[in-house]
Parts: sequence; C-alpha cells; structure tokens
Amino acid sequence: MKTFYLLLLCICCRVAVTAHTVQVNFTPVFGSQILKPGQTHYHTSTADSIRIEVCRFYISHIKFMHDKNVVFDAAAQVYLIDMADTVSQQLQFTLPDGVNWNAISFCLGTDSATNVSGALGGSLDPANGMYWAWQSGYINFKLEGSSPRCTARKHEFQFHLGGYASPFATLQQIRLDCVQSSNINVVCDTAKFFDYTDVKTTAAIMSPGARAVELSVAAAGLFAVKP
Amino acid sequence: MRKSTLILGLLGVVILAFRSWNPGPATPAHFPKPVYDFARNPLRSETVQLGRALFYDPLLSVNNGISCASCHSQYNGFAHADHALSHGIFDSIGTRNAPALMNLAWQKSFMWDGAVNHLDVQALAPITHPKEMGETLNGVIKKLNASVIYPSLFYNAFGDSAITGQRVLLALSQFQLTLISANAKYDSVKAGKAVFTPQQQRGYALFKTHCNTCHREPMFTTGAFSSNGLPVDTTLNDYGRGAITHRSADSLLFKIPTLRNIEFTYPYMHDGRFTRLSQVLNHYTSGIVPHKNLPAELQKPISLSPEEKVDLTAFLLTLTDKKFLYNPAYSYPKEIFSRGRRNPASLSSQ
Repeated sequence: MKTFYLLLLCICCRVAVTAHTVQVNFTPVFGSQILKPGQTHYHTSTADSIRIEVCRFYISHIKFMHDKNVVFDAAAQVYLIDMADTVSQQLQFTLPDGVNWNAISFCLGTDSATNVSGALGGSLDPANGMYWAWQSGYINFKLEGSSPRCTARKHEFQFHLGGYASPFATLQQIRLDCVQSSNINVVCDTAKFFDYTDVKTTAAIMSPGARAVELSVAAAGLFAVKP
Repeated sequence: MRKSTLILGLLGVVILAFRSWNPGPATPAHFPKPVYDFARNPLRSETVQLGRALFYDPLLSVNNGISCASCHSQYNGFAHADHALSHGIFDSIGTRNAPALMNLAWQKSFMWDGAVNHLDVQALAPITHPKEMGETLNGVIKKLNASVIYPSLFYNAFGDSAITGQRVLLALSQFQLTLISANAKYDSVKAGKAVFTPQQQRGYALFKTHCNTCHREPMFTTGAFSSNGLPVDTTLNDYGRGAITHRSADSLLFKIPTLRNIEFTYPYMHDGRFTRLSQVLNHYTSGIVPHKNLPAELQKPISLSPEEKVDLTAFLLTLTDKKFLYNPAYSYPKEIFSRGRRNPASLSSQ
C-alpha cells in the first residue's frame, strides 16, 4: 500500500510539472543579410559577388545543456532547414519548467543509423532532394549558387556535403553557448563558407570523400548564436 | 475459473499477436535468416501489388519508355538477356550489366560496387540515372498522382492515397522481396526430395572444391566483393568497389553474384563480357590476369579437364528454378493495369 501512495505521489508530481515552449530559429544568412533565393551578396575577402540559390541542411540530435550535462534531449526529430521556407527554420520544443540550461548542442547532418535505414519519410523522404541516388546516403548540407569568379559552366557552384561511412563521415557535432530564453536565434553564415573554399578552384563537391569532410567541418563553423 | 479464463484469454492474445506478426515471407528452410528488416516494412499483399505495378510501369522513366522490367525480365531471372550493358531511355547504353534480381532479402548491399546500402533506396539509382530512366523521384510522384490507377493502389497499400517518395520505394521493395528463388533441383536434393544424376553429383563435388568459397551455398554468393582476375575493359575503365571506398585494396573488386538461375542470366560478369557459361569456366581455368587484389583462391588458376567442365556445368544447371522463372505472381500485372484507363503517357509505351 505504501508503494501505491508513493506511486500516486509520483504521478501527481509528474502531472504538476508544467512546461513551456522554446523556439530555436535557424536562419541562413550572408554576413548581416538574411539569405533569400536569387539575391546577390558581396563577399569582402574575395571581392566577389555571390548569388545563393539553394541553402538546405539537416539538423538532428538537438539537446539542451547545462555546462557539460544534457538537461533536455529532443533527439528524436531530424529537421530539414531550407532558406526558401521560413517555417522550416522555426523549431519548437516543449521543455519542463524549472530546467536550467546555458547551451544547445546539435548535429549538422544525419547520423549513420539514419543513413542505413532504407526509405524514410517526412523530412527524410528521399523526394526532398537531400538523398544521393547513386551512392546511398543523405546530403547533410547543400549550398548552390553562382559567382562570376567561378569558372564552371554558367559560373555555377554546387556543394553537396555528405557521407556517413568511415573514413569520410561528415556528421558534425556543434555546441553553442547561449543565455536561457524562450527564443534562440542561430544563424548559419554562408559568407564564411567562401573563406574556406574558393569557387574558382573548386566549383562542385557532390560525393563523399576527403574534401566533403573538410568542408563539412567548415560548414559547422558557420553556426553561431545571434544575441 | 476466473484465473483459467484469464490465462486462456492471454494465450489467445499472444497467439493472435503472433499470427498478425508475420511481416516477412516464409523463409526457405535451408536459407539463413534474411538481412532485410521486415519489421520496418511488413509485407502486405496490396503493397506488393502496388510495387509490382510500379516495377512494370515505364512511367518511372522520364520519357515513359523504360520500366524496371525492361532490363530485369522474369524469364532471365530478372536480368537482361543478350544485353551486355544496361539499356536506358533514348537508346542510351549504360556501363554495367543489369544484375539478376532474386533473394534480395538476403542481400547486404546493392549494385556491382555496393554503392547502395539498402534495398529500399536501390531504385533511386536507376530512376535518376541519365542513361537509365533519367527521372526524379518527384517527377515520378507527380505522374503517379496524375494517373487514374495509382491513388487507389496507394490507398489500398497504405490506408490513404498520399503518394510520397518513401511509399514508392517501400512498395518497390515489397514486390522485389517476394522474388524468392528456392525451388531449383538443387533445393529439392537438399530437401531430400530428389537426387542428383551421377554427372550432377560429380559437378557438385567440383563446385564445392573450386567455387563454394565465394559462391557459397545455399545463396550461391557470400555477398562480398572480390576481384576475379578480369582484365580492365579500357572502353569502360570501371574499377568497381574502389571508386566507392577510395581504397586501392578495393580496386577492381565487384559484387560476387549469385549463381542461382545462371542458365538464364547471361551475359555474365559486371560488364556482360561473356555470353556463355563455357567462357566463364574458361576464364577461371586460363583467363585470370594477375592483380594485387586477386583473392588467394584465384592466385593459381583453377584446373579443370574438359570432362570436369561439362560436369560442373551440369551441376550449375541444377540451380535453374522454373517455378521462379514462370511464377505468374511475378509477371506483368495485366489485371492491375486494365483496371482503369491508363494515363496516355504510360499507355503509349505499353
């Protein structure tokens, strides 16, 4: 009987815990400008104009952290963030009240288990254009556009970064410190991407390999919390 | 009384649970456990039928001209007879021999180089390849939505008529998972229902000595990749697995194919260079070109007398499964396609 009351107490406590919503916005930007399809941006370090047509990426394994501890794990969902779809950029989480956190942690890309699980649905449906047909696996980060500096056909560049198998695994773990709030703004600054690679020499990465790994590490560095 | 009713009731629930929990096809007794996880995509006859319709429908290609079955014909063990390299839209010729499709639930990776890691996503490769079907998954979905028959086929298969990329792929998998070949004479012998002729028996002994390491029974493949000493065709320069893993140890390695129904899956090898079984045997006895990735088994040529080659061939012919090759459940689904007026695009190519 004692156990029963204890159990009842636990259930009551559990019900009594109220929750609140935390929205995490992932906004693709170019420097200080919000990315919009077809807009031309000026890249200072190469003195070049860059037009971004496509910027899409997967965000997974989102966790709210307090110092080194995970205090809330929202890992189940994989989000496809698309510069052309503002709704896709607004991720909402229901956190129990009283949880203290000072960082968020997430992965850029899809994990290897996801990559070997066959045909998946929702954000992971291969029809979303983020899946490689010829060599199985998700494209974790896709950036396409054009620049006069790029010598490829029509001055177009295409970076499709992905690959899950060792030694060319591209999944990136990112941790960003932040001040606890119901609204967190994370930017993905694509301008920085062109500090790491020159479209004049490399206009396309479309398959897993050493370059895809290097540029994925660079892509992870594009993310920052905007106060 | 109450207790026994409860127990009986519970037992009933358990039995019912097991009865409905039959996600995969019956596994032949002498086969190992399937690799495919049927719990994630439990077979339903309606979904299998949808997959069969998709498999035979040229709507999957950009010009509505080529279906999966164009290069995977049932009477050839779902390989492509007489065509060394796969054919595609607008008379394109690909770079590899269309492989035979059977016992796919036991296959760990797909394509000659293992580039595809799961049966569900295999179809994406031929659908989108510019020299095969040249379509996009979204293009296929659009055409399926516009067709007369497919929304109801998807409804029957999935409980609502939404057509998604995932559902197209899962249905294609379901049909292909039913393509099980386990009724060859070899299988009857294993089941104790038939006996080999003396010649077949001699051939079986030779097979076990010379071939079974790679073409391991009862699947007649280990599913691994290997070099078999074929010189590179310089018009193709296909290095197989090496191009996927970027490892020199994988250069010139190709998937070991099953030998089941080999009588009908000609031409042979990844580039279809051999049209007859005798050429294949001659390659292993006198055609192997040394290569750093040649496996130990092939370091020394296989020695077979002309009589032994005949015996070995006699055994290989016991892997022909007529029930599989002529199973009406795998054939062109006339009854599905005649149910509704086809959309004109796919009708024109029938």
